[in-house]
Amino acid sequence: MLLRRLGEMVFVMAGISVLVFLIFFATPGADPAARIAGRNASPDVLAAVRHDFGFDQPLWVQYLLLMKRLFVTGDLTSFVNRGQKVIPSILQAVPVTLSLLIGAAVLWVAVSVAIGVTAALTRGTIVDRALMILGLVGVSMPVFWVGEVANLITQSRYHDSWFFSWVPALGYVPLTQDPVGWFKALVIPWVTLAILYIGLYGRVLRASLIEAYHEDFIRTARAKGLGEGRVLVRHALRTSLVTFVSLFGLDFGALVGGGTLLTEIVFGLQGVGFLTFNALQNLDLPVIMATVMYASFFVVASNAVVDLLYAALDPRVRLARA
Amino acid sequence: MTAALLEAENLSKHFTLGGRFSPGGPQVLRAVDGVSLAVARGETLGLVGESGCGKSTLGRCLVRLYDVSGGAVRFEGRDITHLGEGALRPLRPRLQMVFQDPSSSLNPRRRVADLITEPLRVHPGPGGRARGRGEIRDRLHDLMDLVGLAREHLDRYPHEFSGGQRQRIGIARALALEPSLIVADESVSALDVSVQAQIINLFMDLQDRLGITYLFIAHDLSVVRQISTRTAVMYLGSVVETGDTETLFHRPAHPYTEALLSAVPVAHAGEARRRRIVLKGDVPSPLNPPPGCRFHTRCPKAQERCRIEPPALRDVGDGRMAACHFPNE
Amino acid sequence: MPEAADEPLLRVEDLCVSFRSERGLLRAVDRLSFTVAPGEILAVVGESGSGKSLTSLAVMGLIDDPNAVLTGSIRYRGRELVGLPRRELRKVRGDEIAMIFQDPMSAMTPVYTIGWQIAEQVQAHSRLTRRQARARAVDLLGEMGMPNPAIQVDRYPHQLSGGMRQRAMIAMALSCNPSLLIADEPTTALDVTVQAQILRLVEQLRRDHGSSIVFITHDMGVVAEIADRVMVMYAGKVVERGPKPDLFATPGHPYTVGLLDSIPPMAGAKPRRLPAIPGAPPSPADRPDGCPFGPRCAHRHDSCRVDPPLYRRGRQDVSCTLVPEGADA
Ligand SMILES: Nc1ncnc2c1ncn2[C@@H]1O[C@H](COP(=O)(O)OP(=O)(O)OP(=O)(O)O)[C@@H](O)[C@H]1O
Ligand SMILES: Nc1ncnc2c1ncn2[C@@H]1O[C@H](COP(=O)(O)OP(=O)(O)OP(=O)(O)O)[C@@H](O)[C@H]1O
Ligand code: SF4
Ligand SMILES: [Mg+2]
Ligand SMILES: [Mg+2]
Repeated sequence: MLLRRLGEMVFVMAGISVLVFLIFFATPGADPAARIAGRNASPDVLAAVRHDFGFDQPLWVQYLLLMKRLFVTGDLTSFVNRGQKVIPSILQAVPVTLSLLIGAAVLWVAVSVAIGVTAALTRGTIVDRALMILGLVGVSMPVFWVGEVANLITQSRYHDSWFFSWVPALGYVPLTQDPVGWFKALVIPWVTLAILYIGLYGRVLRASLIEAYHEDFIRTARAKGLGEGRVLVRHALRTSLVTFVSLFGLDFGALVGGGTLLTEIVFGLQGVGFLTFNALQNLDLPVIMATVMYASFFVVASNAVVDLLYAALDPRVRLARA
Repeated sequence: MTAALLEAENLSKHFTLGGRFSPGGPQVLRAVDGVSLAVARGETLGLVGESGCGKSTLGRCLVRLYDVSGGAVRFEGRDITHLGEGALRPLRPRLQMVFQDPSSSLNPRRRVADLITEPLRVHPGPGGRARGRGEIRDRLHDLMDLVGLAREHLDRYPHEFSGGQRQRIGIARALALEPSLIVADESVSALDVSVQAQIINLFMDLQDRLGITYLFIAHDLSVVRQISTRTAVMYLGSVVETGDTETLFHRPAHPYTEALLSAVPVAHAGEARRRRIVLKGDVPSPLNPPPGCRFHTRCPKAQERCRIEPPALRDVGDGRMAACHFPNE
Repeated sequence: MPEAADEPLLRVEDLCVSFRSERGLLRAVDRLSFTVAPGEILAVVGESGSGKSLTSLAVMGLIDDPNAVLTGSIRYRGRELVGLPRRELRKVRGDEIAMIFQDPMSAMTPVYTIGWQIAEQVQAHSRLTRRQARARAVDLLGEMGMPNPAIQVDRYPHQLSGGMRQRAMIAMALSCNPSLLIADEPTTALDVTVQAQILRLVEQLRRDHGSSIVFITHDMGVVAEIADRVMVMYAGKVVERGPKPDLFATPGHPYTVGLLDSIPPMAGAKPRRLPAIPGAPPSPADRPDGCPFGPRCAHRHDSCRVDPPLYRRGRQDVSCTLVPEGADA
């Protein structure tokens, strides 16, 4: 089953790459070479591009050539940015995005589980209502706005107060260079990115916990004489996990694939989103294409992981495949 | 016999247990193994047998809620073995099932009124037009009355009902479209005997009035005796005896049927209890059914031949068919 | 017999369970009182929806519907259970008082194997290691007559037949040898041979551990087989109770009479229609004044307009005005 899933994944990715290729290179009526070369390119450059991408050859050769440059030789170059190698710059951006994302994900999972569980257990009380309103506020605050406000507070307005003086200037510090600096630089972005998801996940978890508490098996668990803690964790939470985890996988995939764009821009983090953003502004076709492909691969991969997790978590799904 | 409404021919359903990674590798569980039977239009076929012998699985295969592993299913003379969900849809209104575990087949988030009327809303009425609101409401009230649920129950959720009430919701749902065949899986088991009597009477009245055919799966043999015209007995995935209900109950041909009937506890003071035949030996598992006659490990009459040669289902007189080398006369 | 024992194991007094609704408080269980003596098997029968399951849930302290209101007293070994803090209740539950739930499919957590679920209960009340608890689960399943228990422990509830699930549920409840076992329709999904085996296990529990059993069932044959005393419920009340032989021989309440008549006979002529009690039970929203069975009772007369108390008749208690008047139902 694992193998089959993997095969499917590769198949879907190949499909996506063909699609992306067609969109960028075979849209009728436009000369791809001109777009790749950028505005105001000289005829020499144009000719170089033509040759480089094999535009004088049949479509499938172009496709293979492109795939080779993307995956085998990795020497796809950007013409707009005069010779910037696309693949290395993506590889450079990935750790930034992952750092941002993993920290935020840890934060949002931990906090939203705490919120969801507390709200479900105190259902109907003030605590529950307060938490849910907070969650709603979190969901409805736009990321860039939160980011800007955070910057305003920690970078300029109150930067000199004792409370925020530790906050370093915007930008990324590699983990391998300076772990403490890495952490300091990312705390605020993490919180910013996580807020939306904390609100969302807290609410979802509360709802599915409450639903789980209606099930007969909770009654059985209590009848066995189990403690409330065990009933909560092993029975209610465990069965609610299925929704939670699949949601998480999909969101995570989408975020790795460039969903962190706004956060990265606001905090000046040179991640994949940032790269895409710049490329879009310059109409840097090779970079856009590479990031689109990279993003869609992550979405497909996380879909596959979610499916596997889903099966691992719910025997009814797992065994139905047999 | 009139033309069969539902026919199974050499039907099998296998489940694979354990994956490539489990110790011992995947195993095949033969839940239903080569069952042939026919249900005539307008009759009630009782299906009894040991717990876990494959009755529910057979029922689900017959209404094609499961894909079958082998053999054929024919409904109204048409082969429906390999029809896809889309092709089955127009047949669904005529082919209904009442499930064994009432609460797990009812969506906990829907109100009872929605649950019962769902089939009315998703399937077009006679003449292919969608049903109107008023029509649906009238039918809903009829159905609630028929199965003895009060009107004020309409807005409740399934978890607010008692076990027997949930079971009646399932029955009302299956009756909503006046199907031509109902597979009723243990559908009166959670009812007290008085309500049970009402439901059985209801089933029989509907049969008289609309000619509904039933495949009636039950463990309560007195109920089976009351409602079914013919009875089939299953053991470990296959049918071991079929026959006219009265004959089968009075003169069971197969030793398993005999043992089963002897274990029925009796409530009526006047009824003498049959001499109890206690089955000895291990209950075999469908994972590795015994060779020869599947019942030989527990059969009081087993001979050498039974251990080697599987008996075929054959005519043993009086319209009874039995799969036994040494059937009772 | 053990009726007169000085200290009952369980004494329920004036138990009321009501639900808040738009129509005001609906009383599902209405001033119910009964006792269970040590070592006694009390069978509870009655109309579907009459509050049998609610009563047993109340004893377990498991009514968790936020709209439910519970009043009255439930004393176990002289100790009041109503209002007991959760921590205290937890020690009693599962260990001293265990319950078999009515609908085994939804009563088991779908994501764990049945072995895991049985072991969980064993471990909650003993010092066994995981491995020992699992071995105990295998033993228990074997005692329940599950074929291949060593394989079955690792299967999930949805992979089992209805009867196998039910047996897993029973194994769970019996795992700690409770002093009081409440069994809510534990044998509905079992064929008669397995049912007989389970009944023997229940009797064995009583013999070996002196346990008391409250056995809720609709099967009068089972009642006849196993019960010491019988309690008949209707519309949230006890309408009759007494030692089994007396109650079967001379039922005092017209509802009991109707119930016993509704059982489909196993021998003799098969009636065209089963003699069901006409009409439907009153809904909790509009219970009639006086005797709740009044609207369906053939013997109804003027004095039935006041709710009859339980009158003594021989060794039976009957809530019917015919008793003091000396007439027979
Ligand atoms: N989804 C499944 N996966 C694996 N095995 C299954 C599945 N469903 C049923 N089985 C197995 O198939 C066999 C037959 O099950 P089935 O539910 O048909 O029995 P049954 O005759 O209805 O029994 P009961 O009277 O107890 O309901 C059992 O051994 C059961 O464990
Ligand atoms: N959560 C609830 N909210 C409202 N009414 C309820 C709720 N739970 C149960 N009831 C009602 O209480 C009554 C008694 O239910 P209970 O489950 O005790 O019946 P029962 O005697 O066990 O019946 P059965 O034999 O059908 O299982 C029923 O009329 C039911 O509709
Ligand atoms: S064939 Fe043999 S073993 Fe099988 S039922 Fe008949 S007598 Fe018993
Ligand atoms: Mg079944
Ligand atoms: Mg009940």
